[in-house]
Amino acid sequence: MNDEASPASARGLLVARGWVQVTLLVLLAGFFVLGLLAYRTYAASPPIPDAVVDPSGRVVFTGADVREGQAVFLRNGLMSYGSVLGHGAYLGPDFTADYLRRAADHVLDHHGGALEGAERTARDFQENRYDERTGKLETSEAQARAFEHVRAHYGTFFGEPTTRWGLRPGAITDPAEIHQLTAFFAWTAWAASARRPGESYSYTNNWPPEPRVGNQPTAPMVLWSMLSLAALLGGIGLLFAAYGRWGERLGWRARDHARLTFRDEVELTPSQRATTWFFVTMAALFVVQTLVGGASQHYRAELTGFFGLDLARVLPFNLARTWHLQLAILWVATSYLAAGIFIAPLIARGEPRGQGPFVFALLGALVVVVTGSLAGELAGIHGWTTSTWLGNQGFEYLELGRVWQVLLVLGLTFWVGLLYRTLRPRLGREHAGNMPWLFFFSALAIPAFYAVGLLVHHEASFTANDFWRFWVVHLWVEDFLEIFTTVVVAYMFVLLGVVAERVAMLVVYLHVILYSVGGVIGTMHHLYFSGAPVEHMALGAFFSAAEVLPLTFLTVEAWSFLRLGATQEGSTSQPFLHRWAVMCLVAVGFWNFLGAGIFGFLINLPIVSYYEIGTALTSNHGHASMMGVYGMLAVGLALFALRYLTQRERWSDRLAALTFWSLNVGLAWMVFATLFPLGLLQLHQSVEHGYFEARALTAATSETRALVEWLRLPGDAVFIAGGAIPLLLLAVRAARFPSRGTTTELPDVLFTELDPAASEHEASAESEPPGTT
Amino acid sequence: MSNLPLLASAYAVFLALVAALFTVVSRWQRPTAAWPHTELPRFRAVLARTLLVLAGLVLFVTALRHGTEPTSLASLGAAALVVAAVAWRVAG
Repeated sequence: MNDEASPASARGLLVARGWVQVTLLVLLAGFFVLGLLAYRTYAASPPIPDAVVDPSGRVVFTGADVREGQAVFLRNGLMSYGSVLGHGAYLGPDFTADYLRRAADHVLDHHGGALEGAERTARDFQENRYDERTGKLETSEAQARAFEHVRAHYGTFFGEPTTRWGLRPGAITDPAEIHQLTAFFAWTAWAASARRPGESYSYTNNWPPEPRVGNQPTAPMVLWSMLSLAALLGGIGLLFAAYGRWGERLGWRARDHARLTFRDEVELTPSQRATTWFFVTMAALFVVQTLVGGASQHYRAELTGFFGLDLARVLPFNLARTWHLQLAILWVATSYLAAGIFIAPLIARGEPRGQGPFVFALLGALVVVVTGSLAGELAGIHGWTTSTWLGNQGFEYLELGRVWQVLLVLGLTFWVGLLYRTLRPRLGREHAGNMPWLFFFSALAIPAFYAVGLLVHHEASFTANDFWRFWVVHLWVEDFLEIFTTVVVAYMFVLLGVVAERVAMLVVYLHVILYSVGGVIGTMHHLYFSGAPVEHMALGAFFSAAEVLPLTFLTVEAWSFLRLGATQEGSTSQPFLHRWAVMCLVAVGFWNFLGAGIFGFLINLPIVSYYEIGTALTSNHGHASMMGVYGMLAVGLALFALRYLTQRERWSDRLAALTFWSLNVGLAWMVFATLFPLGLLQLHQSVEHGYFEARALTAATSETRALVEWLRLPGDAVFIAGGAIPLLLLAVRAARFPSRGTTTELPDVLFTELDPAASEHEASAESEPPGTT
Repeated sequence: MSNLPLLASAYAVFLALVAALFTVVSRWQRPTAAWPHTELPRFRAVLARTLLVLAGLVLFVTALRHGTEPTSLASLGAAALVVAAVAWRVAG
């Protein structure tokens, strides 16, 4: 970054260059390491043999069967029913652990039972007989017979003519598909038990825990668990030391000398007005998402029916779960898109002609993608189409068909183009390290990192797919959506006059650095047991411990953040317009620490994850952080914009308050009534009895677990009826009673200074030359 | 699971303790300034009451289904006392 490189009229960098340099360095270092790990993922994944043969040379199954079995697994939505290598949904079993147990029991019987055959059985599974030269994997006679035995079991299970397992009747009846599906499960079970060449543990670091095949925690697992704890404690110490040393310069600081009054109504540009319909769409998607979420949750309490209705004939569990997850991404993303479109004209102080129709075009494209992808998932899971282009791709979080995925990437890119079109005059006058560019870069990262999901495809190995999939699940969501949000929130405060631009920039840079130090390489904490080599576990555990640091920082920062509100409230007699939008940000701080920090770290250590992955403790973290942080932010952004989009006399603070309290109470209930205690029960069961037992469908439907699941109902009802529906009513009000006045030129702030003389003093302090910080 | 009443009692006490923690922290952070300082204790207070209601519900449902044995009743009763004490404190 060089000030002199900017145009002569451009504003110089507002913060010291060191901030930009450190940010770039952290990002470059992180992605360099990820690049190396990408190479290692391909180089050291468990091989898919050309053929698996028994001692007589008879082919048990082929590599083509394994690949086709993966496709059968995905397009039938089974990753939204159970899991493989711990990743997927949690109603059905983990099919790796399931196959391994069933096959091991069969082999154990073959070798003479638990007393005589235990050691031989373990040796049978651990011995790696894959021949790299011929591409053949030789199994023992007992293992080959076990394959036939387990194939028969899956034939019965997936061919079940009723909906008793929560799947559509006769989900998979074709014997060839059952053979391929079993081959895929068998291959994952082989990778989970056969020892890596030259190592004493399997390709999956001995996951799942299964005593019958000698799978137990490995030395690196314990070592890196301990070191990640040390990294966490050391990091927190360093953070507080830094905060003690430079605390007065870090975090949100109010413009102490300014007395402000907030513009109650502002004229809006056509594109800003168009965002009303984005928020209506977003709130409608949110309502549908919570309803299908309720339906999927009901399966856990009552597997065989929905209050007497045979729901699975229409909405089997895997479809409800697929829609629940896809809609979560779509409604949150819709809110972020709208917030970006709403803020951009405020940054640029206007917008070019014709922007409104473009924004409506984007909304139309979004509606097409949403309805098309949901319909495709319906058709795919019901077996009406086997196309992964229009139907169901089936990867968790990337369930939507390929066509819809490509269109979504294009739509997000179009959105960035629209932002650029609005921002262009302002960008030309700014240093590339200043707020307008940060806003643009953070927006650009959204399509860029979502597009990485296109590298995931049915023909690739599960391990490679998981590597890229988590770039979307973790890196896109937890790093780049978080950064975009930080920039948008910072800009909101600047526009409201609550913080100076330079302070906002410092906060943004600090957040980007802290999130990226842990978050980029920390992505690998999802790949402890996916078949990636041990360095993924080591680096993932160590760096993801650092992900807790920004969350800790946020709790410290919350005090200075709260002071902002107190300062501005004290400086004006009028009620603060964005009371409930800011309250959502307060709630984000709470859920960030509890949901992402505590519940996330709870399952982050490799030794804990070894027993826990795929249990309700993962859902617990997922719900508390996804809804508590990203969902709550999306709602906060919606409330901020809707306040301006609605006629003043039609705005209802009571509805906003109801939304806020119901979402938080419902979420707390959801977490503490069901997900957290259920996760603890499952973890205990996993360690005490085995992972297979903790994830078995029979255990999931046991009386105790069903009771814990039923306890969630009141919280879910409050969440849906008191939280999601009032938000939709608020959005509909904005559409029915739009605020008056349209303009193509906007003021650059949403406040008026009552005491400009006092703030001149501050302005002179803020204009210190860059580099003096 | 035979030890379910004991587990339910322990979990209800855990919820009550979390609720108590929220309340205690809010009292430490007695607001001296205007909104939204005043909202954070309110936020915690609402969550604390939610957890106490949940703790009560857990004990009630467990007592209905498993409260026939004296030991179960004793553990559930003891937990109910703790929850009630915290509820009284939170309400006060």
